[in-house]
Amino acid sequence: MEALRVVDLCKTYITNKRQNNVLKNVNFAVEQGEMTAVMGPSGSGKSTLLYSVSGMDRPTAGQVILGGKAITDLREKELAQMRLNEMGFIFQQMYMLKNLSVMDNILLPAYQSDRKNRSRKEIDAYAFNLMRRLGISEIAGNDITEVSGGQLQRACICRSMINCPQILFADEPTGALNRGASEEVMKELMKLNEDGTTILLVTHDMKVAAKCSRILYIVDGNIRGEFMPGKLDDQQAEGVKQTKDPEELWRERERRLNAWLIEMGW
Amino acid sequence: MNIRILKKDLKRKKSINFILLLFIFLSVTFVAGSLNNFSVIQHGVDVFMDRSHLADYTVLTMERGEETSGTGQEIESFLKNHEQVTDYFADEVQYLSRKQIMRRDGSSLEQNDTMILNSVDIKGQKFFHEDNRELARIEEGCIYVSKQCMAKNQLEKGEELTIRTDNGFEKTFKVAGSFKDAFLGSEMMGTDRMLVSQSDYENVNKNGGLPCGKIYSVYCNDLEEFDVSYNAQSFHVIFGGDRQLVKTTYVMDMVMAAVILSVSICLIAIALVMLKFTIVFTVNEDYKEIGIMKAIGMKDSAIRRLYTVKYFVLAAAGSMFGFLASIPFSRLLIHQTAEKLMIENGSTEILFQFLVSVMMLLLVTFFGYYSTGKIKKMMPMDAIRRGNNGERFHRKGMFRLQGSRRKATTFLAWNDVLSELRKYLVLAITGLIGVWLVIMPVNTINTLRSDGLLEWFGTQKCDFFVVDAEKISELLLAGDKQIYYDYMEETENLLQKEGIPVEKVFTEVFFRLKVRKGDKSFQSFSLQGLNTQMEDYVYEQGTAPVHENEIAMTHIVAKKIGAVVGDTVYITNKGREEPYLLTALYQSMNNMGQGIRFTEEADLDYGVSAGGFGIQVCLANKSEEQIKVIEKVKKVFPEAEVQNVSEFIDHMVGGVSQQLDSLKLMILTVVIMINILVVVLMQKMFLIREGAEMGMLKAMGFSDRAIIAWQTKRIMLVLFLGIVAGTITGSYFSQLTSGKVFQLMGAAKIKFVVNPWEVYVMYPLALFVVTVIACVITMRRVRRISVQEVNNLE
Repeated sequence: MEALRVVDLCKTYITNKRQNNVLKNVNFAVEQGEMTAVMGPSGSGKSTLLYSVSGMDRPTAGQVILGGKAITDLREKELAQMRLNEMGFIFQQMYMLKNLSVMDNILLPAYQSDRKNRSRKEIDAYAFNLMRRLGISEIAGNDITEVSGGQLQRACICRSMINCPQILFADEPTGALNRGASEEVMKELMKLNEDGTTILLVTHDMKVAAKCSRILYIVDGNIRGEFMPGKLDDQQAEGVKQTKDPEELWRERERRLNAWLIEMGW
Repeated sequence: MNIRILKKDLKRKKSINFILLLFIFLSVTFVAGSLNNFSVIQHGVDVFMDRSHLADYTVLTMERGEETSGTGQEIESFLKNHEQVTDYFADEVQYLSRKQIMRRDGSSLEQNDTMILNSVDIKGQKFFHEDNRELARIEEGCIYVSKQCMAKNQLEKGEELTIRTDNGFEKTFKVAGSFKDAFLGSEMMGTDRMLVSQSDYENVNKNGGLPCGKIYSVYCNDLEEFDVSYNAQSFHVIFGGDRQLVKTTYVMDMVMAAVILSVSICLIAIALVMLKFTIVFTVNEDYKEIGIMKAIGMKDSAIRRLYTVKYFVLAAAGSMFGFLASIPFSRLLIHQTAEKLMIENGSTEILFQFLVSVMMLLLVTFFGYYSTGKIKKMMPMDAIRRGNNGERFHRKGMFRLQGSRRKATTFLAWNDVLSELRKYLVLAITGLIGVWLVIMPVNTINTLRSDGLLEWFGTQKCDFFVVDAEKISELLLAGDKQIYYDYMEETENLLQKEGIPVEKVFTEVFFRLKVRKGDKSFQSFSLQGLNTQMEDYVYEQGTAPVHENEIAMTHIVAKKIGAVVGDTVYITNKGREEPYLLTALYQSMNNMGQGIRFTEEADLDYGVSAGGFGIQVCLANKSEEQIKVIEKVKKVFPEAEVQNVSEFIDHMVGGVSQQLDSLKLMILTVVIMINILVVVLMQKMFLIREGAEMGMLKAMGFSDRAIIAWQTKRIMLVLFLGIVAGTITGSYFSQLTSGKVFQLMGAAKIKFVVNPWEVYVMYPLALFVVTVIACVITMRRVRRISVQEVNNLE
């Protein structure tokens, strides 16, 4: 079942009376429970694609259908409602509101939501559970200045998950983190994906992309190709069978992805 | 290079630089305009008196009957022989009654009880045109009247006024305009003056047979000594007092001035707070660039110089425009007071405003320089991180959202305000001051219009006054107590006959008598109530006088002669000094707080009585609508002025409540405009500063409406706190400002009449609602903030 479908998506900016076509008739779909990465060189339109698809920005033309609803036809108010209840968004930088504790930042979208199916107590408990799952329950009451970047990004993930969204969008979720923190965050995203959350993320990082089930490669506003690192030919499958070390398996995925990217002109 | 950086900065940060420029402009306008008003109004009366050559001491006499026939010679002899008198002028005046001067259609003028005719050529004083030019000459056949008389009667230039005296003399004059009169210019003097040419004056004097008098303009070496010896005499005069006393008759004009001064001071406070807020905000915005400059090796002094030049350029532009705007702004504020006093925005005032603008320019530049002082202590990265200690965020919130029952936007608003109170202080102060400024005139007007104020004028409560100026003059000239009783009886009978049930008719008769205790004496305004009960008056201390040799006096007179309750004082009556027991003290705003109250039995010399309030009437049936009764009474006494209590008080205080009413509207408009301006500019700054946070909230799914609600609730909360604080302390502020003016008039204790609906609900709510609407309208810009703004979040 499709979680997201993008049809003939175009985005054009007019800068200094010059037309800049950032996205040119982009078409793709993301299945329910899929974890898709969008890769491409700088300026290829990755972030613009993510913002347009997630309803953060209005496309110039085309359609985006999310959970059966054409979000491109929604009014701003309905779009905000959808962002609040049906989507989660993770930024590269760990943007959080000052003056609020980590827990309060996570709770904010849930308290703002007009869904009546949960009491505030249940929301608090759910938030705490999320934090525990992501290993940051001990910093719940901390000020956001008192925690590390990795912890903060995990808090951002908790915030994006607080309203149990259908789909999670992430713009370079590990871009501002060190290697260790980056791996921790990816582990959590994969866990969420295993639990059924659809994820669409933009990344430069091959290690991150290799953990996704599908990679879309975008150049000059067009999807040039897609790659499934988990899909193996017979020879590769035989090799994997013989590999005992899980780390080696990931490295193998990265190698294959790397080869594909080189093929695409990366 | 520096100029190129500066140019780029001014261009690139257009919004924030424009806001700073706007605040500098407003601050300079308010400060220069208001400080100028402060200075001009403070000295307005003195300048007026100096330019009018008003003497150190002025005495006004009226010759009527035997009792006063020798007064002129006595005074002249006293002045000639007094060692402290350096010079004096005695200018003749003629007294006119209301019926003796009329318009072309035969109607009388509405005017004060006493009216005098003078030649423009008198030696003791100078007069001025409305535009402050000296009125040195009047054409024959022309007449100048006071500004109040012109306004009250809606007289036009060129209109004809005819003086027709009892002996058949008639002379028609053409109204040539109005003039400013330092001595009799205040309505509190109760005397109107008209000016004609010397030849016309002589003509009226020779043929009109009008009562005459003199104005003595006395110049002394030691005024205090002269005052003591003058008060030791028992001259029968209409008025005798020094410049200070004349100055205090402008006290009601000073109420207006006090209101304007308070507005000015508040505007200065708002301007300075606004300015500090904006500069600190702007400097914070510049930190990132400061850090980069440090990183590439620029010296601190060079960086500071660069930013100081930027603030100087903005301050110079703001100060120049502010200076230009401060001239009409200042004129707008002092316009009403300037009509009576000699307040002008001449070249000196403009120079003053210019100097204030230059000072503001230096202040802003210095403040900008001072605010960049942190640069020295900062490492480049600290500066890049906007002056914080290596962290993007600071200040922990005061509250926890977890477990809170409030809406998320309400929580955010509370948390923001309480975590960063200083940031919102400027708005809270604006709200507070705004409420003060509105409440003060409202309380003053309500107090001035309250029936209770009547007791502060040294009389008893009544329902209305019948003031027949002609009759009062008649009674004055008759000089007989019994005629007053006859007149009251006649009034009562007429009213009863017309079906107006009367409970009581009474009157107050005025005297000016010398009172002495030991070696201290004083010529005091005195009263005797006829048909009154002494215990019905309000006393501050002691018990009501009962016997004919007992008196009450105001605390001001008691202080002047050093008397306390229980003392025996001596009063000169009918040429003899008689002992009286002081049994009570009271407060009065009549005659600048002067007053001695005699019992009805006291045998006073009615030949030297000095006037009265008119007839006061208490109705037996108070259920009938007062307006209807007054309409009926007006028909019974067509010649008289029938006033209800608030009209009477307004008349007594020179129509100041009407002036305050119009001023109140102006203040309300100014306050609302300032509130709107502050809130709009603050919100614009927040939109710049918090655009990224708004983008983030949008990304999280907060609708535009929710973000507007968050921002508006914040403003509402701050404004609410400011307005509530202003409302609670507003009456205290009224005491501090206009309360002082009431005290100057003689009221020892002033209790403001507070209309809770107006003061606690209507005006604060109006201010609140208008400001919040302005905030919501400004915040509609949130719609144009995109989610990508989040990338600007530091």
